Amino acid sequence: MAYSRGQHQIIDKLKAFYSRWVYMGKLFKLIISIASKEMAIMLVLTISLGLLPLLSIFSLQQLVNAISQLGDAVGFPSTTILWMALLILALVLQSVGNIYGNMSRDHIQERIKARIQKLIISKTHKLSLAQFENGELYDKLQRANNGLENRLFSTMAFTFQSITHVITLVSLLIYLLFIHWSIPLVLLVGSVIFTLVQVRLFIERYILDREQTTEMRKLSYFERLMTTREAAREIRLYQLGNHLKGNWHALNDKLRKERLGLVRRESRLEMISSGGNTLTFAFVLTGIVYFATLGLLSVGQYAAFIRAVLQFQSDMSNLLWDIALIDNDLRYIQDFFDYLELPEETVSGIELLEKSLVKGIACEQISFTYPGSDQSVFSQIDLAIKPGERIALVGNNGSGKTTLIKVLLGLYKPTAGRVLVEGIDLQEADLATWRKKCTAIFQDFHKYHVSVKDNIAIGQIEKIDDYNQIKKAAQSAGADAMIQQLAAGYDTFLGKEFNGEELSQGQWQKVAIARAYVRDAELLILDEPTAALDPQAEVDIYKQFQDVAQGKTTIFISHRLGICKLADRIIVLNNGGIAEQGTHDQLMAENGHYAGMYRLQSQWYA
Amino acid sequence: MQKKIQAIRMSMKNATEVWGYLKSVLWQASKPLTLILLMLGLFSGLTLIAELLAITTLINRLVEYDPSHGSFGMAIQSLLPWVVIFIGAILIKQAAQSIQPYISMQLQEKASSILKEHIFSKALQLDLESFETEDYYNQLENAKKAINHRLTWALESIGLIIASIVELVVVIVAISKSGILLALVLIVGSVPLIMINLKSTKEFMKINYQQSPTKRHSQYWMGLSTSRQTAAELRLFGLGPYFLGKWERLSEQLIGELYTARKKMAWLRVKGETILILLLAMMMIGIVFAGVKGTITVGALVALLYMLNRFEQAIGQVSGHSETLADFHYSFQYIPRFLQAGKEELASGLQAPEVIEQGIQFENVSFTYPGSTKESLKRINLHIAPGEKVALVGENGAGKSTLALLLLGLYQPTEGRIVVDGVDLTDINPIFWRRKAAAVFQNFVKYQLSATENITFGNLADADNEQKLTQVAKRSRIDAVLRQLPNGYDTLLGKEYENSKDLSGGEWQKVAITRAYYREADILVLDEPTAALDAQSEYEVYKQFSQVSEGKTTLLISHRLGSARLADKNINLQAGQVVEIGSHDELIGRNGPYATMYHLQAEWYQ
Repeated sequence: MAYSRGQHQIIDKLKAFYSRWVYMGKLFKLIISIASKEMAIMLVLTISLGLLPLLSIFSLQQLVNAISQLGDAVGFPSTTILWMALLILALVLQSVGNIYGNMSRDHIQERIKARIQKLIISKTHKLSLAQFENGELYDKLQRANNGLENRLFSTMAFTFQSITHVITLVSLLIYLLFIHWSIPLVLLVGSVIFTLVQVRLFIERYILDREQTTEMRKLSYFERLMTTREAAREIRLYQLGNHLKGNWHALNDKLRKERLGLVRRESRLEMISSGGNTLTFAFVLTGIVYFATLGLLSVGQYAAFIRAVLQFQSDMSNLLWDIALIDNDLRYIQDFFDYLELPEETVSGIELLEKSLVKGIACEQISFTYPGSDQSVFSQIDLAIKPGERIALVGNNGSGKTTLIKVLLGLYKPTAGRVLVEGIDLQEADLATWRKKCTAIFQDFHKYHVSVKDNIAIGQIEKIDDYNQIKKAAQSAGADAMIQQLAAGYDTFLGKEFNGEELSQGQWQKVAIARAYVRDAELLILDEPTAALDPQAEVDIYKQFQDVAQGKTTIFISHRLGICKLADRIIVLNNGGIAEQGTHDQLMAENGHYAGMYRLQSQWYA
Repeated sequence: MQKKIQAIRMSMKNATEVWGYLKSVLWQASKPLTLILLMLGLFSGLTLIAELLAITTLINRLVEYDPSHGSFGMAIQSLLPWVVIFIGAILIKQAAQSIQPYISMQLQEKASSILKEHIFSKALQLDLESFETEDYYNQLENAKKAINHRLTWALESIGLIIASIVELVVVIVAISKSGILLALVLIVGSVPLIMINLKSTKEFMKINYQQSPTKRHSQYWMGLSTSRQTAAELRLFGLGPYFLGKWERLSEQLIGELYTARKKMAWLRVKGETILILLLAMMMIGIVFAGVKGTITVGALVALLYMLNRFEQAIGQVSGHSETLADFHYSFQYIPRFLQAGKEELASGLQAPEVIEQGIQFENVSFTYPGSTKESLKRINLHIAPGEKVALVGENGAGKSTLALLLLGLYQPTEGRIVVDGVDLTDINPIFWRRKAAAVFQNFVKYQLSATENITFGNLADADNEQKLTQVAKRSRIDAVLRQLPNGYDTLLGKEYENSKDLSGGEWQKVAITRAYYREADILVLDEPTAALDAQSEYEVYKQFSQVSEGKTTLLISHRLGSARLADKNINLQAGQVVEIGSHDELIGRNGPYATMYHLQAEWYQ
């Protein structure tokens, strides 16, 4: 019973093995399409390197034959010289070929790697934002991004190596066939045990590898916790060091024991298979003695023969090893192709005109659910925003404020309903022309490790050298004074990554606001822009905001309800829909959710 | 440039230290296994003697064998001992080769666990300031890479180099029998090749070192292109092409530099190899002449050719493995370097007072971050009475969080001292001191572990107290949320694993607050605990604040001056200096900067 289950398992593995190898074709098509010239060079190198061993063996045989036939002849016959020259040539070619072959292979590897990386980056740029929020998809993205280009190339390199081995093997077999038909047969039969053992080992290696994946990730999570800044404070404060190290140890020991168990089995099997190899060799050697007694072999053939057999066996084991490596890589390559086939964000469509908004933005019955989630964030929201209107979006944590603005920006597609800009459905519009009209500071804005100037210019990258514009934006964001005080002003490099200056959270926030302001947009969105700011800075931001927002459509999200008085209209999100909307006074008069929240907050200042 | 080369030289000087460390790790892992692994290499070198002896005799006999006089049986009888020796030698060599991976793996696993343990212990012992420097991360990164570089490769390489040297000696001795001159030529001819190989290894190490900053830059741009954190901005601001361009430029530069170096080295190698091959060819011609003149048998001739071939292979092995060894040394040295770098935290000292009676006194405390020239705190003098609730307010970057970290003993003042009941805090064992403290940091850790662990990490000594767990969770209003999770408190939180559940920002914050409450500490630090919370949650947190902080010395950092009213004493920090101290009412009455700030905020709620 257990045996047949094991067999089933093996059949499943073999099926999986086959389905993986289908990707080989895809891989080669892809690589040929991005680097056809390089591939041609590789192929020529591969074939020549594969044939060279035969050339040297053959010329060795002929040379020895020629010498042995010299007998007592006087002088130096031309055939001897010819074969000797050929042997030397073969040796020189082999070594030059190896050196330049390795060099070109390394270089081509890097070029192809860079091109594949470019492919991955470009593809990533074309994915929609929502795909980044889905855990499973994101994992795939991470796997596709992390070092995959190395695997893609190593697959290729190993494939070429295997081709070299196959060519050498076949040419040697043919050579040996000419000596006697039985020799290749014995050698092939002899490699069967070896091959079977190797296949068995591959299968075992997978099973273990797959079983350990999750635990390996946990292990590296512990490693990260112990060594990075992320948790350094809490580990010291709460004395978590020994606990974490203990957990790591326990898990590490467990995984290690499993791996060692496999290696122990491996080495036992390896013994058997190498024993088989040696026996084959002994058998062939006895054969040669036998042929010699029959007078079937020339002197040169003895010399060449032994070398050929040894070379055959070493190439055979290298070939199997390469196949194992390729197969291992192919498991990840599947991810890569799945990744390349992910649906892309459609960006082309009806272009929005450059003139300013007249009809405004209208949401019609829009709903949104994150991919992979079964709970909608909001549903059937109707909302019309007039050009130049100032809107405050409020609501509890998780009420969908940030999601709503991402839908408005065309970063998320509504799961139902539509968003109209100037009467054009965003799904049919050219998103690039829409996004040019928008700017935003997100709650989790990014801290770029580049200069202050570039950090701001990122909001309008074409203006990266327009100091005036950048300075103006910084002034509006209240960041100018702080930037002036930095060591190199606007050219100060920020972030720890490259030894730049580290700003406080609030200072970073000001830089991010300047980034949003540098873009001359019609729709300005601020998602909790002042959460980390001190009161003075907060007031400054909102005062400036009124100037910057002049004539623009603005939406801001804030938990500071007092600030919402600045808005023409306050929209309260609750339970996946718009609960209330109106001006501050209207909402206070309504005495609903908003009024309750406002009173909670204002009591601190009563 | 000059400096870098000097740095490389310095590292060479440290070689003994590095190898001393390696030896101690291997000894600790397993002395017998280390020795066996080394011996295996030597052993396989020695089998060559048997192999050579057998093969030359075999070939000689076969060549001299005259098929017309004698039978297969006779031939076998005379040859059998040599066949057996030959096969035996190969069998022993292969057996050694198949147990080698097992031994090597076992040793590797043990040794790398020891190395990791050293690295983690070091990271956990370092003081918090070390985590603020770029140096630390570079060194950590390098040390981690070094662990992946298999230790046993070094051992195997040493073994194989010894084996190859044995082979070389055997071949040279064998050849010198045919003529001392031949052997001498052989030795002299291989010197340039070895020199060239050493030179190219050094050259590549240099290139590697020089390229590492550029490499990190290009990886950074790649990361920006593909990470979740930048996804929204990248799409909104249309940054894709810009990032891609930056990455591409750097990556081209790296590839170009490497290619130049590779070409140069390949050419050198070709020259070296050609010299060797030509030498060998000249020797062959000499031998053939000898053959022609009849001073040497054909069998000996064939054997010589066979030996020359082995000689060439052995030379290749020596230089190849020397390269591996040099590579290994280059990367491995980062581990001892990491273990020596940085400042470790004091792990000894006085007991912390059981109950703080006189309070905590800051005396002229100044603090400067490592690598910074600006003082974050300047001559702070203040007194915190036991059980006092202190609110710390002030602008962004005023040094509020830094002051809290000093109080917790996570940073040491660069000048002045913090005195607890008359004892300098630096004299108190930080472990004892921190047992008394709990904190919710601005960027608290979201442990990708179970909810239970997330909370009990606050006090591991009392980790199994379920009653306390739910009680504390109820108090911070997170109990209901955690109960609803698929596995209740045992649910893994975060996005890391398939079956983990992510919480919203506000919920995570409540978990962090619960963790701090779980500690029942005397000193409680809350660093902007409500920045990301909605009005309702904020209200709840502050409502509990008075309850939880009952009897505790509490430091509350907040931008919401309304909440500062909860404190007994408010400290207004500006640019690292205390500008005002007093209760809320006092400060309002004084009508200074605090009052201005407060009114600014209160205005919104009038």
